[in-house]
Amino acid sequence: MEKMWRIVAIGTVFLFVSSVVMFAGGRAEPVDDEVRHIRLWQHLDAPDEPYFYDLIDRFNQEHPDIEVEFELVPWGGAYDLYTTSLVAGDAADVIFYATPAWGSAFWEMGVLEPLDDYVAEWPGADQIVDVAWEGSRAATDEPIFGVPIMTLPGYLYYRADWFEQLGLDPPETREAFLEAAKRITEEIDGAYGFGMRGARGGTGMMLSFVLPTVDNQWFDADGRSTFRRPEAIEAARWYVDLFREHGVTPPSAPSDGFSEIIEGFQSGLTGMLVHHIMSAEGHVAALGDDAVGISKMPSVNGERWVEAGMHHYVIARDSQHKDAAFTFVSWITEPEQAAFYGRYVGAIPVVQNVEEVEPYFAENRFARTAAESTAFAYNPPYIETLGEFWEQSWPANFQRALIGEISVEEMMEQFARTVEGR
Amino acid sequence: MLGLSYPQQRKVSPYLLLLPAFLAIAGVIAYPIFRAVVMSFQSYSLMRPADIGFIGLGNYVRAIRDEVFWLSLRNTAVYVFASVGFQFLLGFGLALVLNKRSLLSTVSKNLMLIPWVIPGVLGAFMWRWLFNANYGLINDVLLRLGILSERIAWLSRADTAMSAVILTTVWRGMPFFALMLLAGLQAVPDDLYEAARMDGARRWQQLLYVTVPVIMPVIVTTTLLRIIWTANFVDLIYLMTEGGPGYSTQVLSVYTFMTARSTLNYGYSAALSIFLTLFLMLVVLMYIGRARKEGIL
Amino acid sequence: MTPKRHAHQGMESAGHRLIGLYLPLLLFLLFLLLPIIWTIITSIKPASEIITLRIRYLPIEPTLEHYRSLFRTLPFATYFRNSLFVSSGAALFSLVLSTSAAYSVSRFRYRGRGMVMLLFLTLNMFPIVLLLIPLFVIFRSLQLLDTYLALIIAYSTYAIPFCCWMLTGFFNSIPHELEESGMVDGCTHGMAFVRITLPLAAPAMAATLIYIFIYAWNEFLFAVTFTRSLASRTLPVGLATLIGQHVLNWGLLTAGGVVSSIPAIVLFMFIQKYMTAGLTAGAVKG
Repeated sequence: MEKMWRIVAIGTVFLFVSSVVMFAGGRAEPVDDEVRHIRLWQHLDAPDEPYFYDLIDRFNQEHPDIEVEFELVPWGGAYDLYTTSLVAGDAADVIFYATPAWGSAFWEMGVLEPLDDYVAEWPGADQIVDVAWEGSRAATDEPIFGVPIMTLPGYLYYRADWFEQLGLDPPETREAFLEAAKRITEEIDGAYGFGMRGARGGTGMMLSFVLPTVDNQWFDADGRSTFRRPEAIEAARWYVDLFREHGVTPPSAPSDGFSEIIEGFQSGLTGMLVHHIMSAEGHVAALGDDAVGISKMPSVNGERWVEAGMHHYVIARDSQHKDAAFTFVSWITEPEQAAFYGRYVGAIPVVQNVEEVEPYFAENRFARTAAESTAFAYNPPYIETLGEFWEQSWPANFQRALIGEISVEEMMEQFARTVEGR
Repeated sequence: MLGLSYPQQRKVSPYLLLLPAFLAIAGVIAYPIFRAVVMSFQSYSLMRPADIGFIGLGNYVRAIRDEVFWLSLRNTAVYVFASVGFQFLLGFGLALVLNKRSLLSTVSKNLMLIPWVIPGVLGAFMWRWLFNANYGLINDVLLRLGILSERIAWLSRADTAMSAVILTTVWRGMPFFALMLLAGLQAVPDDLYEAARMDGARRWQQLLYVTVPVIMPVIVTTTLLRIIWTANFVDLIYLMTEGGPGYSTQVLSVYTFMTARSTLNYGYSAALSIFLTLFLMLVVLMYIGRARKEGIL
Repeated sequence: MTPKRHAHQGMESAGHRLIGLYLPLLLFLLFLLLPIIWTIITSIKPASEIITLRIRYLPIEPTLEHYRSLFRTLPFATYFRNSLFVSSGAALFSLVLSTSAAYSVSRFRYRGRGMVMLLFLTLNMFPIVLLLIPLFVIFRSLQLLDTYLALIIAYSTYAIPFCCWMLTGFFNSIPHELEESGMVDGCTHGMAFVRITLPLAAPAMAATLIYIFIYAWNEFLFAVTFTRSLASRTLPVGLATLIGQHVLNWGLLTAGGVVSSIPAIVLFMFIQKYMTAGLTAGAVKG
């Protein structure tokens, strides 16, 4: 028995002590009065490309008193990391996010620093287009909590070669869109007209066909959701019927997520796709420049709405170096840096007259169409239940409507309740 | 040792042996679990830090009135029962085959673990791709073999999505069973087989009357643990279908996870998970009670 | 002492062996390995051949470009080292603690042991998302964030209940009489355990070790929340950076999956001998 105890006891103690000594040693904060260390959390879509790292290096060279330490966060774990560490008060100083619902969630959690005083003293603030600021606060009289840098408005990709073959023009209206989708489905072998995204992330796509019928408003004056209005329900029915009635989407639409719709377009399964500039390069690589056509989102009753896809930088309330953090945030969102970022990392900077700063945004056809689309690109309203609507209620109920478990009216009622916060 | 007499040692030692594990668990996780239990009685949304306060059974009542909760509970039962059942049967079969000596089984013992070893994200994504209606391998092979006449959108139909998810879970979980049961089989003393053979027992009789009874404790514990593990398994369904289409693959663990993340209502999510814990507890107690009665545990 | 198990195998006909062994084994392997083979094939296909409507089973122009860019993008050596430390630390730590606890539960009868084991289990019934914030607070106050130790502790506590149960099952299947006969020969409880039960349980302990190791090797949620810097991040976190919000690079991802699985497989090859070794019977009868 004794021997046994000793083995267990010594083994345990040894393991504990050795690991503490080995791994917990170097945790003391570096004491340095000169250089302020700013930690930055951000996910990158192409971590293998050097551009973003170059940008950070440039900042650090230009600002000898500040050292930005960039920690690449995987997209798949970013939300869990941010919420957990922000609530616990041990997050990075600066955090980047590209999902509108995260902004309202973090702000409601009370973990972000209000930036009004900083922004008021920052000359560069005027160079950011006005509408971009809408996603940075709960209402116009509420504090600013984030600085917008880029937008990814959706537009329509279409197979230019097929359109030419079928004698079709890029669809300007939803009627022309349906017509084109039908023709492709009927006449191109093995292909479908439209790559519908029925899984999470497809919310904006549906709203592009629904919101224009209600003047791009989410709520009536009395605060009730416009999703209950007959014209919104009819528009939603039209969208659901692309799958149910007309069969112009692949039969897999209810579970198709981001990779399926992109791969579907690139492999010749679908003829039209609603997406933003980040996938342009892949389409051209797969299909050739000539086969990739682009056009603004089709209009519904003469109106257009696309999801703005705004990207923001925020500063943690518990940051020890808020001034230095804002120095970085204001630097990277200034026209020159934002334009570099937008061009190489891929998005449309939200600065005034971006094409004068960087001609690429006027010359490149994808960037041009995206920049033009910013005219009708909107942030979703600031509501507490945005995440719930976007990530949970929409996919579940939209899919149920697609596979016929509930009616379109029931689906829209569910959406209305979620956005109203009931 | 410690100046204790032998009988005293005998009395103390079981506790001392248990103590390190107990301390490790209690020290780290007891508080977080306690917090979660408290949260389930609170209005606790991260988005409303000012409104946190006790609301009694409010979250539990809400769960009982939540149609998705009941749907998920039913799906959980189907998902767990089918996945664990198939994992066990196939895993046991594999273990028996691997227990025979041959070069192929030595090689296979290494290979069989791969589904379990490769990163979960990759496994789920690969299967989602294999099941893809339009350019997935499964439809392609079945079409070529003439088993299917048209493509099936496996993950997009309410009647096939659950089966697809179960198949993937079995694929990922089978190596665990094979490994554990194989380890159990190693401990079956040879003389038992010899005796059985002398009595003229056939192979299947040896299996049924020698092998199974001896490794029964291992079978009971592995299936029990697997039930709990599968009922709490989030990654695979979340990455493959996110509970869809509609709610057809929505299980309680995924529903809890998605609710916690998208609404940040931790109070409600905690109540959901306490329900799951209670149901699992019920299953565990019944299971253990049965095993005790049979003299297995 | 005859070689362990199935001495009669030699008498089996070739036909029996085919039906009873090779055929089922090949079917099992097909099911288990099909997605793996597809992963490997994908990892050596050029990007243009990966997603095609007419599926290409084999690459026309096989390439190693994904592997090259993988090693350019990810500091694999560091991730490996971190994962290896964390997984082996967690595996050893929890194996020691669980063996001791399982032995106690399996070989002694005392009040409350069933209760403790049940309490252990409830831990595994809780969703991790809900435990993240309090755990994070604990690790922060212990100054353990961004260290191996945080992950080792988290994984161990999470794995111990499972391991205790599994090992208890294994110990229960080893007849008490063997130990008792040893004790008659003058061994203490502990000696009997070390000399008799432990060798018999070697396959079980090896299996348990593998279980924890693989769990720690693949765990993502704890890893992504408790570590930040390259110095302590593990492989799954590194791999996840390859999956972007707007980009899914199959080539990189599959190559990464292949590379990151290899060490665990190699490790298993080493441990395997303990799972099949005939250590057992000799010790029993000796």
